[in-house]
Amino acid sequence: MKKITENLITNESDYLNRRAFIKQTAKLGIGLLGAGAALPILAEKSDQSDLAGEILKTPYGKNLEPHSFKDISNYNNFYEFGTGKRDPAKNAHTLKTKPWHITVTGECEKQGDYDLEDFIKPHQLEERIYRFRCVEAWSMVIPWVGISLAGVLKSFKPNSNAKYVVFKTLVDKQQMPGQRGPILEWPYIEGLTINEAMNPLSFLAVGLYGKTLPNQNGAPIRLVVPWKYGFKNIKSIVSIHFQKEKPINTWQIQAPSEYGFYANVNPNVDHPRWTQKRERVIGKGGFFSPEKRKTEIFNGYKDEVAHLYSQLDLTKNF
Amino acid sequence: MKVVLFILLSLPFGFLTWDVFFDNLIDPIEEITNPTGQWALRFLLLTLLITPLSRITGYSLIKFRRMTGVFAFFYATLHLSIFLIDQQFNIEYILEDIMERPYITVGFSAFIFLFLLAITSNNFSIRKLKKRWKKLHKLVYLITVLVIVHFYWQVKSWMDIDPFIYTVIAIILLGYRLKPLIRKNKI
Repeated sequence: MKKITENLITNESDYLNRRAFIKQTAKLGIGLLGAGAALPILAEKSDQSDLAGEILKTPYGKNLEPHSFKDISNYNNFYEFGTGKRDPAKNAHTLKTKPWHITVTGECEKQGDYDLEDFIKPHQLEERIYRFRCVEAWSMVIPWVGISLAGVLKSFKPNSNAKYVVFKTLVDKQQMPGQRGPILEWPYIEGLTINEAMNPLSFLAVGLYGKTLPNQNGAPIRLVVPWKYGFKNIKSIVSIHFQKEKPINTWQIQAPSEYGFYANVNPNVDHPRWTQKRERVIGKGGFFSPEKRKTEIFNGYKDEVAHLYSQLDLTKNF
Repeated sequence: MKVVLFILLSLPFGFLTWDVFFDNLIDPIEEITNPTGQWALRFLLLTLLITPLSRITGYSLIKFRRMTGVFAFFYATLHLSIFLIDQQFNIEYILEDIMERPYITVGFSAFIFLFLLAITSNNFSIRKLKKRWKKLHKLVYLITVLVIVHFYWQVKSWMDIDPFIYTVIAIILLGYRLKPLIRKNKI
């Protein structure tokens, strides 16, 4: 690992090949001709701000090819901003991420209300390229920037009663229009066992492609646990709570037979309504031959996390 | 009039083709599956609306019913095709999904019935099948129920408003057919 400056951070344009460039150019030309047609407004990376602090490049995902900023920032499940995949990109501009506070409570020594900047500052920003596998059987590869969750949690000095860590998303009907309806129970809640949370893979992302997170991706700070289904990766976190009892997460409240507490990516345990054996790689392959890949146990992070579950029957504890 | 209707009913297809052609979609599978399914259902409900609307307005719209019905089938076919593409035309995957995923079983049965109605939506079939044609085309009520079940069975949140609205409309339209039956039975 070496310290690097911003211009060395994974650059999206590296991944745009010549063909894509030609296609874009053609699209622009024809787009201008057909000016009457409504092309959707897509998020631009240039809208995001720079992050404070140097970003350490890590070996995580160095062999993976990240998806484009366009794919990552326009195809989201974030029901706080609507249930459609394009809704968050369209609606999340109402979220105010500055100032932002995170309250730390429960079984730990250093409870308190932290300003986001103070929360992040003591920790090293890292770039990690992780696989992202949604429970809906699609996947992407995402170049996150953030901080190790274990380092953050340790700084709050959890005590021996801290068996679980519970995260909550902001509740604010003004900023999050999706919360005006009872689509889910608000706030969105997710939890990890303390051992899962302390695993070196567990990550708090504050950025994407070297810049701040777009709101629709869970700005200003979100959880990333790449061996679990996407819904565990709670967004726009305002509360971290240590507790002794196992929490009930939002999707478990919603449909306990379909979504469990662990939600580990597992091709051998199907969702009751669809298979988890395969996943569609978003935006890859042709129109008539979308790219699919075989889903890997723990999303390919078996070596890092399988030991956490050696005592568990993963069919029951899905 | 029929030409205007044809163009109107084709518009969603036109927009989707535009989006595919100009690469506006991030995940074409999901972004076509959902709209084509909903358009099929909308046109199915529109087809069911024609009789009551004709009676209420006193203006016969029956001549448009074949077109709205066949368009419902057209969008259902697109909807199914995208599913087949998503399964990479792999027979094993397709059969597994149809057999093991109840919402797909239900949706697929609805499609088979709709197919029967679509291929008999011509004057020749009406003449040939005589009284049986009317009986056969009563399947549209069953199809509507199956499609609603199929829709509800795949939603993520039961509180989602879209399937609820379609269900209410379907209940009204099916209820309209049941009313005379209920009355008859009371007498």
